[in-house]
Amino acid sequence: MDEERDLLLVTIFTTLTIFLWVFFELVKTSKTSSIATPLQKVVSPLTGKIDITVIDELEKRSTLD
Amino acid sequence: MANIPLNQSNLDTQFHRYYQRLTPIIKKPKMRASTTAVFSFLAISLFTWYAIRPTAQTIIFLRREISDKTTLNEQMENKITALIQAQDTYETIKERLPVVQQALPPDPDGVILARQIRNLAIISGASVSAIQVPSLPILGKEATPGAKLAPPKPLEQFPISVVLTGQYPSLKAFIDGLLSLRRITSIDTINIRPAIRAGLSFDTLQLSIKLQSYYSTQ
Repeated sequence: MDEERDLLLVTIFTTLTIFLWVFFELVKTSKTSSIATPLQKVVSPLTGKIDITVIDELEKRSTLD
Repeated sequence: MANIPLNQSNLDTQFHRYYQRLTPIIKKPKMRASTTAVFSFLAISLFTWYAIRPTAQTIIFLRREISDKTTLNEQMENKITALIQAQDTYETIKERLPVVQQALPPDPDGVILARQIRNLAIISGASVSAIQVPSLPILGKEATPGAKLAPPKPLEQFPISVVLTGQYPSLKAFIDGLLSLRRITSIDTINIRPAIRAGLSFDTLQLSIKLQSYYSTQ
């Protein structure tokens, strides 16, 4: 009788382990980005504005060449 | 070993012994329930691992890929818009860009800076005793293959020392002029002391100034 119970317990725990394993594998799949790192760098945000006041300030300065 | 012909009656006779052994065990209700449960769990486990897992993984991966590609598409569109805007701004200020290169040249241009400092000293009425540029890197040439390993900084700097003599207003004008020079330089240290030399008046001062100048490597 004990052998039967042990076998049942082992099977239950094996099933639970497989469930957990599958669950964490699915979580990992959902968290991993499918975009390659070089592509992520390419699409990094870019500011299209240029501070023209700096150029204005620089133009006021003398070169003395 | 005798050859026994493999027909249905022989097989039945062979397996009949196993049936006979298993029948009393299977007839026990507890044993039957436990065996059913064990095999059910095993079947569930096998199906989960070999059928449900790959399918669910594919579904989740595809959903993630769709979401990623949508985000990527948005980011690409934003970047294209920003690039168009930057291009427009660049076209507007293109003719004024040499000013930036004069402020932050791509090379150290130590000689040009020294000439500007000399001209400034002449305009200010001070006389330059010495201009010293301790070290200037040679650009465009890699000394060793290992030089590639060092990542370039966007802004490099080099020191320059100037020694001047003149009266206080001249030295003040020189420092003011230095700060309004287009070529960007910052003052590290200033040392002013009376110039004790033959032929110089008592109100003549000696100015030792240490500067840092910059150039862009990008």
